[in-house]
Amino acid sequence: MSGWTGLFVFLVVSVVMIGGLLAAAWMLRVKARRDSPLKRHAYECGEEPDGPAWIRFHPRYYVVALFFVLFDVEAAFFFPWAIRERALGWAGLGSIVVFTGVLLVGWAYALRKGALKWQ
Amino acid sequence: MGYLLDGLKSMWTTALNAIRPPFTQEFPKVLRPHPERYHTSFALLHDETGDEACTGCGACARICPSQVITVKLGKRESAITQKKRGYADDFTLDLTACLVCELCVQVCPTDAIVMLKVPELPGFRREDLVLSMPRLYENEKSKPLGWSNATKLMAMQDPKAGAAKPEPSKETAPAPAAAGAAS
Amino acid sequence: MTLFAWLSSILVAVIVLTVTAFGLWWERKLAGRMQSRLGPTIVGPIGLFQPIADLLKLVQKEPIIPQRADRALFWLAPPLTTLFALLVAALVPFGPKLAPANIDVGVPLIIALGGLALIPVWMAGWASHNKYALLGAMRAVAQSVSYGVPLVLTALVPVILAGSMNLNSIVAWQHRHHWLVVWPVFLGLPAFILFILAMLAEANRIPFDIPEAESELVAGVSTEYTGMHFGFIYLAEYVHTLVGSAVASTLFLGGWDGPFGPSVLWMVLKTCLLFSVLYWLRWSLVRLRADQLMALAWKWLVPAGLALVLLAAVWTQTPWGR
Ligand code: SF4
Ligand code: SF4
Repeated sequence: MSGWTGLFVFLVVSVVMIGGLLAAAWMLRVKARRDSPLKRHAYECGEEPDGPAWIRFHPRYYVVALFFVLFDVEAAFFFPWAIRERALGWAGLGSIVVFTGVLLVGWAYALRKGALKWQ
Repeated sequence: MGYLLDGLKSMWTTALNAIRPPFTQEFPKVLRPHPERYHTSFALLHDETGDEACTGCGACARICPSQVITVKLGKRESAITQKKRGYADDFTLDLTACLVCELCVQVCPTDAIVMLKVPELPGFRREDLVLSMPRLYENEKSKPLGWSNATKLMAMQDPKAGAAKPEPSKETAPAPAAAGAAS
Repeated sequence: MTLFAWLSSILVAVIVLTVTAFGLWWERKLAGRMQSRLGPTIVGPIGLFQPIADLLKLVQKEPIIPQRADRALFWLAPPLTTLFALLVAALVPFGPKLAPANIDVGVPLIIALGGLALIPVWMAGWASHNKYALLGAMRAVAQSVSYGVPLVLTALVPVILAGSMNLNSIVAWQHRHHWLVVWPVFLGLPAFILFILAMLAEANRIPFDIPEAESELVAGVSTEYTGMHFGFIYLAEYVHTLVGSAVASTLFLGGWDGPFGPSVLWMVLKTCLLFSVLYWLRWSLVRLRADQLMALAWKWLVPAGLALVLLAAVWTQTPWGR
């Protein structure tokens, strides 16, 4: 049995279990005798909801996303090197150090620019 | 760095707590010993002749800071002494807003209203915590009464009696669980 | 053979869900004792059936969809969070042979599935059309994304040492040599600690729980959810922590490897122990601020992770680490 079949089977099993719970919740759910539009208001500590919640948000999250892309791609490049690490020897290590070094320069530059200042 | 040290300290504390016996006791099953002057709910008393002691004067209703007492005054002949006197035709005390300040007990001219040693059990409706007159007289019979009444409280505050005597600090035995459960 | 696959999958899924349910009980009991309380006591002996009572309660609740919510996404998100959290469990070997999915790219796949779990969180936050939920989701995404990087980097350390991304071979390597936290201790221990920190942050647990900081954001993404849908978000968090501890014990604590007795037992023991330690952390530490979190991830954990990776690489080149 290949591992992927196993994963697929597991996926099916979990979907069935979660679906079962959902179905149970749907069948056993209580319905209010009287409905009120107030009940469906978005929760804002009891106040009337003030304007839409789908708002524009701060660009600092964008910076974090950029950082993430940078380092996650880097990490993805690490994996093929990591499993052959012993065979590749010092040469492989040297190139990965250069690779990391270039990224770290960018990292230091971003930090100096205050990219992670959270205000 | 400070966060790390404080974190380790609090982890030490929680670890110690985890092996200590817990402090909580399960309320209706286990009752902690109360101090002597512990007081919660209310009762209305009968006087020595066996008549209702409350004269319906309304002093308690007037002094109550949260105005949770309502008294309806009625005048009629006593069935026991054959004398005409005041009665409370109706008496309600709403525990939901009571501050437990004991002022109502303190002002009662006839020591009619006193407090109890055991709390009322929680209810499912607000009305469960409104003490009607029958309930107050029922409490007199079925529950342990508290230490104080108007006479004792006023004596304590009498300037002529000198410096206030220190309260007896001995702890009374825990009230029997049955008394708490029988409301 | 496929029958075996079905059976083992069902077994592992049931085990994970049951252990999670009783982990819930155990956490509340532990939290209670750590705060000098009793924890659950009423339902069943020493409150043991509390999770079942909770489940029954949640299942019966009325589902409420907020007025302006995106209905489809709103409904879909919580079950998906649980699904993704649960899927990781398939990759964890509970014994030399007992792993529903023994896949060669196990480590990156686990991290990918962990990252995938972010999407339903964001879905839930966006679809609720609630400011608290949206803010919570935004923080959750930013945080998980930041801590995903140290997570990958520290997971690379066992990969480099064992020369394989298959979780089972990593455990086998530890079985042949040493558990990674034991030796090389200067690599294994820091990597283990960093991994735990990053894992906690990915699962949004205290001290990294600003996404649902109840004192400022009500409940984060779960603000608008009721009934079983709320339950799914809750469940996903616990499953995530549990499976995370299982992964951490596989990568660093030797997994199913033990001196005697059946291997499943060792795996379960290590996982539960780590799980308890995480709850110990949870009930002792205070929440970090959003900016402190980001600073911790990018200024300290990422460089530290990189250093560990390079150190591991150097170590494997030396005569002792060959
Ligand atoms: S104890 Fe105080 S608040 Fe309560 S009823 Fe008496 S006077 Fe009112
Ligand atoms: S309880 Fe006392 S103070 Fe209150 S109305 Fe009756 S007699 Fe007056």
